[in-house]
Amino acid sequence: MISDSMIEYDHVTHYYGKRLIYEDLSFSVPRGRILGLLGKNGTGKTTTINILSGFIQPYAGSCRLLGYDTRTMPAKERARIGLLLEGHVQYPFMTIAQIERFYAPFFPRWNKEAYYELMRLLKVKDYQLLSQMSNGQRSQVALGLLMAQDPELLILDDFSLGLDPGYRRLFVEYLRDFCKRGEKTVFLTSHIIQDLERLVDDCIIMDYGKILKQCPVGELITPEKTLEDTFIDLTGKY
Amino acid sequence: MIRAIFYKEWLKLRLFWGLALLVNAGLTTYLLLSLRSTLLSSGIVETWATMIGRDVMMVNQLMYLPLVTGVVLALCQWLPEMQIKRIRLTLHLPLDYTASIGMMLLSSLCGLTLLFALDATVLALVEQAWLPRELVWRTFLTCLPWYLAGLIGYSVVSWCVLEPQWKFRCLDIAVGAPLVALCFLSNQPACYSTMWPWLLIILIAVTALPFYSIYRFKLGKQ
Repeated sequence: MISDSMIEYDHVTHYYGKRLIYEDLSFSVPRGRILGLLGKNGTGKTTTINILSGFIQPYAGSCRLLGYDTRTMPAKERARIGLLLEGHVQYPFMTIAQIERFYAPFFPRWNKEAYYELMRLLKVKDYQLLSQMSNGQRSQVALGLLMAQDPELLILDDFSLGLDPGYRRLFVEYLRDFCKRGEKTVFLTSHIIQDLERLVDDCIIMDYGKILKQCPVGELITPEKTLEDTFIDLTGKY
Repeated sequence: MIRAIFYKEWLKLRLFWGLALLVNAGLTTYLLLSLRSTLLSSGIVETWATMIGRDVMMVNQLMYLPLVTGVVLALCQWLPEMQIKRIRLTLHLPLDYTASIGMMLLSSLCGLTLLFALDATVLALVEQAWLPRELVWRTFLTCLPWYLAGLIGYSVVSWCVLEPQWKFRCLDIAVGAPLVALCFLSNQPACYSTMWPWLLIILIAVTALPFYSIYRFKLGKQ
């Protein structure tokens, strides 16, 4: 199924028990664009990622990825979606080589060389366990796996969590080059607004229960104001 | 893809399987050495008379080992998956969740079955050098409900660990524990000789329950 909108989030309402997370939230992400979702803690960013990924059924509304309803998407279409979970969650008992060997059979476009190119940059050995790596190294392994998978759509939940500035910059640069080369569509969340300035094309700023702003990131940045300034102006300091 | 699932489970659990094999081999060796010692000290005729007349099978130390093996396996397999909801990695694979979770369960059930079959085979092969066929068969029938307890215990604990909500997990434990206890109603030798098919039916039924826990996870019951 070919769609110009890679993500369609349509009038979604969600509660956790009696607590409203947001109501009637709608947005779409066109093919080839990188969209960043910004918001304070507890505004529903990870909830949005979980609904997009099919791990939560929304209270109301619908969500479509690649033209498919997330509730009925055929399993094989998930090969076209790369997912990065918050904290760069992977299998700590595997080595660099073992995790590549595990994932390769699932993805028809698997590019082993793209993964090992990034591992050579990290200077990690094939037999090194993920549990013995730093947060930064694990994040690069997660990024390397995404690049090897070569998905059309990437969903990244707080990709900069736990990373120092050096690894964050490396991650952003690699991701930006990878996406621009292959006309990838990306939906991501992050707490580090400076990273989003360098990476995203469009931006959604959320507050509790609603979208405050949805526009190209260039419209939110002026010579006098950074994206972070705009974010604080819209959402308030605390 | 299926081979990749088995590969992952092997990497995750190879230390467990090594230890389980050692412990089971150790206990089986101990049981056989005890039996041999009894045969040598009391004599073959006296030992046979005790085993037949007083209904003593000399394998009681084995009773809870299969259950402990199954429970520990379920914890080793599923706790890492539920930690920080790592199971989402499996659910995001381009494979139906019934296939991916099914293969994970199958790999462990097959491994347990092989381990218990190996135990039972070694016991039978060595015992038949010292005991008549009827006693060897009776020993196997005595151990059979304990092996089934290991498989049922594995499935029940998998069901409980995969359940996303604590209150339902407690309910699952309350339902599952009596099902396991059915395998230990009596320690009379071979008393389950006609009842073991019912335990097999219970095993087949409880093996389906982990899928319900995953279904609830996918619905967002977290």
